[in-house]
Amino acid sequence: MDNLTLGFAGVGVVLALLAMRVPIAVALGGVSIVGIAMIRGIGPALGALGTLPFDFAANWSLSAIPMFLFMGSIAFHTGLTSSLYNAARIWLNRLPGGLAVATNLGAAGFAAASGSSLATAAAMGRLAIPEMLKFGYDKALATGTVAAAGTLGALIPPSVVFIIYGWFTQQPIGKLLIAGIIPGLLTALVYTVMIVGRCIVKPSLAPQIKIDVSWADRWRTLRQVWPLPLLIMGIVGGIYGGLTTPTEAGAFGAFLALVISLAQGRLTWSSFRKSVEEAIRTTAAVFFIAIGAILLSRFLALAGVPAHMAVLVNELGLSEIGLIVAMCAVYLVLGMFLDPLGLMLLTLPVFLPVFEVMNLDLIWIGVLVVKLIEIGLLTPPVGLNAYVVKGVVGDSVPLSTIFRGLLWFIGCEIFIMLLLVGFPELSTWLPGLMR
Amino acid sequence: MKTLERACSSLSDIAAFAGGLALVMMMLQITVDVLGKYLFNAPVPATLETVSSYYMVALVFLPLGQVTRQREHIEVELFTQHLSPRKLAGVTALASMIGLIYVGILAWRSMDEAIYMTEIRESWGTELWDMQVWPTRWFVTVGCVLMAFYLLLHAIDDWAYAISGRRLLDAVNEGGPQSPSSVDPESAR
Amino acid sequence: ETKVVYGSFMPEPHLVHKAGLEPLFKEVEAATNGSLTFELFVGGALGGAKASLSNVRDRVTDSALIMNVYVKSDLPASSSLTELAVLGTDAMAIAGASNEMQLLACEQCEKELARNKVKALAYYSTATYNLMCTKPVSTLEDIKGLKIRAAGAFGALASELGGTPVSISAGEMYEALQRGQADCTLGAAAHLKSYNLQDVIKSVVDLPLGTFHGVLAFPINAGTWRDMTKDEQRALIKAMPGLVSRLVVGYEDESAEALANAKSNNVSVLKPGPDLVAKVAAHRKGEYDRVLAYAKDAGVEDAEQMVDRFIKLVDKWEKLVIGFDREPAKFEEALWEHVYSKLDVMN
Ligand code: NA
Ligand code: NA
Repeated sequence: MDNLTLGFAGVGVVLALLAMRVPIAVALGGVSIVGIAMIRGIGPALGALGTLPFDFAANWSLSAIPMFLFMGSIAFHTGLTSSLYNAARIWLNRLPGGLAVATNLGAAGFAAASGSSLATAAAMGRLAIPEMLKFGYDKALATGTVAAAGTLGALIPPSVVFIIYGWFTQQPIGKLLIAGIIPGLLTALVYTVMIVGRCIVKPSLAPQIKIDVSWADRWRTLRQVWPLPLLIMGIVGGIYGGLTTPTEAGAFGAFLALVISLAQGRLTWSSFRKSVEEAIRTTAAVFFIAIGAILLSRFLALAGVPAHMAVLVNELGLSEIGLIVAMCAVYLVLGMFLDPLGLMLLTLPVFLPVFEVMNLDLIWIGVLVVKLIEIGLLTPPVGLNAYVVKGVVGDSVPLSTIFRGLLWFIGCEIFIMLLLVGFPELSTWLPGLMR
Repeated sequence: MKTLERACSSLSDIAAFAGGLALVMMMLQITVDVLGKYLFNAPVPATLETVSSYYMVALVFLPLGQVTRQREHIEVELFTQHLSPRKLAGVTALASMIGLIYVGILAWRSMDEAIYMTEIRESWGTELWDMQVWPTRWFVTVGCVLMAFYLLLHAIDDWAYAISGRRLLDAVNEGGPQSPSSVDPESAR
Repeated sequence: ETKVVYGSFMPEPHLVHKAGLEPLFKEVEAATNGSLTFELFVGGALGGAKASLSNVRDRVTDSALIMNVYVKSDLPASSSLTELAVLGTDAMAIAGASNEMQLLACEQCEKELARNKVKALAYYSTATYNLMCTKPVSTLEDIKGLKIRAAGAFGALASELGGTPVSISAGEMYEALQRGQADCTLGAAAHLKSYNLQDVIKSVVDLPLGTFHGVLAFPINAGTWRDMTKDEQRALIKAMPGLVSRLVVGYEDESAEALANAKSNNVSVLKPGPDLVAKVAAHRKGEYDRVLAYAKDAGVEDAEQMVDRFIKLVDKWEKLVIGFDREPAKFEEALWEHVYSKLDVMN
């Protein structure tokens, strides 16, 4: 069997094992190790297994994920979130899917504090999902909203992916970060329209409750909403005021959440303990999968699958727009299986030279690539954002329900991609205003 | 069997506690470092390296025993959800065995690496001095060994159930992320 | 027939690939009539900077870009030589000396690599490092209390100059400088372009502070090496002087170009104040003792001898380089004559 066939066969075995309820981490990692052993030998495969888990976890920038998970858990267990959602429920009751819309916009705000979509999904998952479920929202809608809105974290600055893309392509990072703003807001807008539309067509997704609340009581609910906005503003202010880097913002956010809940007298020993336990258990489960996902990326890289697909597209000799559409297709397919960074690192070396020859605007391409990578976080079977949300909700929502909820958002993403491809100005106008 | 389970759970509890401690220390050290840099131009030395090599490794691997005990590893339930409980137990027993092989190799390989790193006293350069990081290599091994233990126990327990309809272990229900649906809608009003 | 898989953690357009490895691969493939082929994985797709050595050890990749200071416990002698960053006032000379030292004159370096099943074939050096800040800085007074992104030997320098060394990952350097978590960074002027620092950096002090010369550009797994025919081995060795020369000259050109373009990017190149020059010179003297203590601490035997030999070689290469007037072709010849012609095939 040649390496390429081996790569595709490996993907097939992964799918079979997943269906057999093998833990995702084991299916991804196990198949990859066998695959690497068949390509490079048993020694290299075992060697990779000895060092990769440590090398992957011992990573500074990833520390934002457990920290934001911790922050979300604290906010949830000390009730910092419930007063805000209570107010949102009363004030947005007339808006179909009001809480999902609020969550979606909240994620856009939180994205200004978080550098990655996983960290955004982690934090918002704990803040928002329990509140939506409490008010009878559809599970697929509630979890899908958070997993999808998490991707705003990578589009709205700060953003780790844009920085890596800029480093990789030597494009100005400042412009790239600014370029993500309009596509990020556009994404939030399209999501909002979709959520409201779906809830109008099918009101059972987000039950509207008849509320008899006096205006005095309504105003009173607003007086209690401040903790969460204060927390988010504190983190964003910390970043833009030069206090923290986007990574440090995670720890600072968790600390702020503790301080706020302490000041409100809501922090108890048991809520603190629960928050710690949840944060580390979710982190351990998700990181263990990520290790498998990275092994799979390495296996497919050694098998030559990403390079092969990219080369195939290049050899089609397509026009500019044809090439970009084909590139999107490649990213969508590979994005189902590869980890986000692997996806970018393995395909760009093949695509970049072609883009350069065609003289395409690499800032625009950067926005498209980042967007496509983010879609990969939402598509099954390897959809890390969905896994993070699953880690947060535990047994109460099956993974398949989360992916089902995400289908609608992936639909939105395809529409947004069409807009971004058709109107490059959406990505290039704002950075063009810089000197 | 149950005695073995109890021994494992106390070990996992200790390991997970250490992981939790790492989480809290990480938050505190980064916060103090941030404030120290901003207010007094005085960072906490080696924060980046301590966070990456000690806290992160501890909190990612040490809780693996507990995660496995609570059956919190993420799986795809879609294709097996219609099976009867006993048939399902047969399937998950097989899945646990496959997991056991993978995690067993992981434990063995990470132990080899930990022994080697201990021998050469692995250290990382920080902004000013070298910091020994070899002890954290063992966190990977500890986490994987605990995980392997639970996979083995689950495999045996599930086989037994699939064959005889009786479980050998008590079901674990305590802890776990509090499932959001369990929150009473009425109490929130 | 052998396929050599090379893993690099640098981004695709980096000089290491464009100027260094890709031409090397073509040259060797042609010289061996295609019996030796290469596959390059960039951007850390097969493992980051810290994993490079163990990847070659385990033959996950056959070769990789390795920075010895990232794996200093594996390579104590070799990385001690890199700690002598201040010796690098001329990138070409220090690169020549490093290769002669590490490949021929340092038995311990060879042994510690062999223990990791690695054979070294080429080191290169970055261009000289400068102090680059987000505001005009040129004197000791200016530096006082500034947060300077630096590590290892350069961290020692930063604190000696009165700054506060801070650790910031490469991925966060840009934003940290932009928002003031760091005021300065120590690096090659080439970073102005490659890391886009020209957006946030306002001044570069025109004073060479040392080089980072511990980059193993071409190691090879011992097993892979053994599996090659003698002709294949010879072809590889033959191509090494060109690789080293292209990398050193390319890096220097990039830095020179970045400095030349500095003004148009609103970056001013400042003359160092006399106090700063004096302080750096004094620091240079003290570094010898610091590194000696460091090497002994790391368990290097006969550390004095090793360090002395390296200093002598740097001296020798500085004279050589002046002799041939920094001409790249002559540099290649010198590398061949003094280093690569003496390297064993089958080892
Ligand atoms: Na963001
Ligand atoms: Na995916």
